[in-house]
Amino acid sequence: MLNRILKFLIVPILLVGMGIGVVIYVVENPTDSMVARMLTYDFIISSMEKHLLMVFVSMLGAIAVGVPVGIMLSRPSFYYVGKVIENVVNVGQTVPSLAILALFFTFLGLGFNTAVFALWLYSILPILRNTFAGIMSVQPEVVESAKGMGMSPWRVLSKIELPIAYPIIIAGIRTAIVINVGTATLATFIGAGGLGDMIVTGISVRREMVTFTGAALSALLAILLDYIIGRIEKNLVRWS
Amino acid sequence: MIRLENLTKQFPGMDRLAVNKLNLEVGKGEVCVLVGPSGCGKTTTMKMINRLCEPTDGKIYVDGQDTSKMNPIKLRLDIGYVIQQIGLFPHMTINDNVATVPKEKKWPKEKIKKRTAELLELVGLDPREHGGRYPSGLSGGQQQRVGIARALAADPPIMLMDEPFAAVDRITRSRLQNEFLRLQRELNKTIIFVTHDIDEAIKMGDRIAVLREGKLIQYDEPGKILSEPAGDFVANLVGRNRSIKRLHLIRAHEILEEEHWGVPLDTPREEIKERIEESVISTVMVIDEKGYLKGIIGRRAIEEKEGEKAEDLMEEVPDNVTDDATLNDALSVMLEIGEGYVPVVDADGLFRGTLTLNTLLDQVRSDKSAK
Amino acid sequence: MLKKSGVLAFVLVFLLVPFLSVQSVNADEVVIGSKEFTEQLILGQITIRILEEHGIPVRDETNLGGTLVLREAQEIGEVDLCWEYTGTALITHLGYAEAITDPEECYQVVKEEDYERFNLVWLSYAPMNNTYTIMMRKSVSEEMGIETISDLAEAINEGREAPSPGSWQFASNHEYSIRDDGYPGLTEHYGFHFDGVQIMDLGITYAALRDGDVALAMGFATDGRIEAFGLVNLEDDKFYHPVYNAAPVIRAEVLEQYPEIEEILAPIAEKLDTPTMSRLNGMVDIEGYEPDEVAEIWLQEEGFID
Repeated sequence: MLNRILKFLIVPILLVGMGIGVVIYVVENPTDSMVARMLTYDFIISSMEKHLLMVFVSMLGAIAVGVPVGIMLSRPSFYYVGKVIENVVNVGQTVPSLAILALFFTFLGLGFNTAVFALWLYSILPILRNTFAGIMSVQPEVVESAKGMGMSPWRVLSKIELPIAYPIIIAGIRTAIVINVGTATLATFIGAGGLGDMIVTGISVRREMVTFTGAALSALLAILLDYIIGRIEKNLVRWS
Repeated sequence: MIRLENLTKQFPGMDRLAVNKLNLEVGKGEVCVLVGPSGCGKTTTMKMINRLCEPTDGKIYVDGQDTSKMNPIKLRLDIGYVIQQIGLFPHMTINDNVATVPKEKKWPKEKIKKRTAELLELVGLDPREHGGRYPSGLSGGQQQRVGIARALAADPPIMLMDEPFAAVDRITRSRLQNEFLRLQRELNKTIIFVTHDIDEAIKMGDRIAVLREGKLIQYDEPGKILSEPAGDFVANLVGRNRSIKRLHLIRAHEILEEEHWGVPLDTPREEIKERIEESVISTVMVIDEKGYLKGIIGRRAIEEKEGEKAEDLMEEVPDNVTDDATLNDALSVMLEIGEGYVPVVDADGLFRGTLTLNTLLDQVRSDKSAK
Repeated sequence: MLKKSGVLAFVLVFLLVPFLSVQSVNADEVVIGSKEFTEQLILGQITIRILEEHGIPVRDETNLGGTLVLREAQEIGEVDLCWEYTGTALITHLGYAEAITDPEECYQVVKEEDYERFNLVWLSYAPMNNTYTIMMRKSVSEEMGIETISDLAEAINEGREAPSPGSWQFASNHEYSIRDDGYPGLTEHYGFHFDGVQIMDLGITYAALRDGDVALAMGFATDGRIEAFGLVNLEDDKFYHPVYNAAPVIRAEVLEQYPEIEEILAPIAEKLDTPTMSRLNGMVDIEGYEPDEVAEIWLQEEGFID
């Protein structure tokens, strides 16, 4: 048991260690005074906090909406609505994330809430699509035999369809979270802060170290979250 | 036990009736086979019995109760259901698959555990070896067995089986069929069995309902279907080689002869030689003291092999059939192993006798002359 | 082979085009150039319209390109007259390392040196200053009596209650938030601190300020949205930001030919202060007028033409 926990933790510890290493290095070795002004422990930590908060709030909201709506659309009575929405969602995914941010800025104004809203909307798409696809992938004879043996529709959903669709749903969540961490760096354009502050400021004054710090931290964060969710999935699914 | 009254089904958007005023009565403990070409309404009829499909018109009575007035969930919990594609739950172990209905019925855990193990043994699987596996780790035949065990789990009085053996190869299929018939003699379920294969229908059914385009054409015992087909449709379905089909209706134990050329393990060489000369199949069966078939000795073996006792001379048994196998099964095995005989054993593996090609030919001849 | 000669012909044509076009120029025409953004287009159109009014033949070469392209064209004599900013000329064209924050001083340095080195004459400059600016909502500015950055520093240091969103939040673009001559130097120069800095894209600081998401914002002083959104520039009374006053720059030989141009443009430049320029920019960027329409309207309003 302890062995398994250690095995599970080794990659996260490595990633976090790399992040801390990067932060310490850049704060202690700034290339000039402008870099030093930006890259302080306080600023990096608060950027990271804001970034994480944006990602978590928007992801929780996206899961809370994407999964139930995906389930609803997979019900036979919604079949055609589901197909239509699936296509709308696929088209929606092609709208650049910056455009979505800009669009909602004009309605919702500046800052954190708008960024979370846009990230939420953008993250719903892969989760909803995968939930729908996951449930549709359950073989019809499996559902038929479950029904035929006397399972109620609710039991068929909770005991059969969802567990079988689970890996695909999780894959959608993983996709969403990786996109989400990356897209959240754009929130800086509407004043929501996060790791994007470093990336864009660094670009605008040509200080590569600042840009690198923001980019490296957001990449490490994406890998870390993806890994953790992947492990959780593996530990819960043993049958495939 | 089950009574269909003017049962009718029309699917939305279709002119033709899928099931057309069907009247049928199935007695308790009977196996009723619905047979007919695809699209004849057999599966639809079956699905209306457990209400996976609602009738457009007509009534279904189970134990005298109108099913349309019953809670469909409760109705289904008391009807075993097996389908062609099996539909095992891929994310559950074999144990959990079999325990599905008992869990739905909220049986106590211990009872479920006991029952699951009992059922796996009943269908010929080892609970310790197979119980913890997932369906993907089982062969097609094993999956079928699990499907049947799952349907039997809560001991439902009624079973609906939709082509339950169609997904496996011919040999496995006939083995599963025989095992199932043996089980059925013990369990005495009321069974609706759907197939498109007239051979399977003749073999499995106590009564056969021939359906065509939603209408019942003939409802009779298998022997009657063979000897008195009602019209060209049934006659064509049954085909021209009805005498051979009749071999489906006779079980090995019904015609086993007294003389079975069995010898004990310690029989001396000379005596074996004599017995082989007497034997019409030029072969003797070696039986141990408990009555199990241990091996065979043919002419070639006694000439080429050294040794003075039967146990030194015997060779491996190529194959056998159980005594509840049909003559058709026995014929298949003979053709398979290329011999004019096949040893017969009972359910416990004890030697019962030997069937020869001549005996089978006599059966077919006597059937012809009887007509 | 054919390909090679084709390329050669192509190159030749390109090399010849400047000479050909110079050849075709009517020697008497004054060529008016401009950069590619709104303010420059308006300034160019104003110049064209007023010179025509005084019977001077002009040719429209506005919207020529970026700063460097326009300057190049003027140095080789393809453009005779355009508007340039003092701060830009000082740093970019004349190669100074440090900006000058006093408008008059900056103008004098540029005027002298550009004439000596490039034979370009700087006519009298407009009060409009397209530099970084610190903005407030006009209503707040009037209510609190804050007109200059010093007033602001005083108000903050005295602990006066901040307008919406309730604290002295400052919206800055990424670059200004970190540059030595941006926000860090500003607070040091005036001796105060904001409660917080919100970093965002330059394009949305104006709207953020208008909507009360922040109390203060930085921007560019002549942007059309300042006027249109009811914002106001706080005067940089301690000359912190470099100055970017616009002035007409003309080739010396052309001015010799039409000396009256200096007299014609002087009163126009004088009228172009920062709020005016912001309003004219807004007419194009927000209300959708064409630059030549805006030039016509403004010149009429001011009575320079009928």
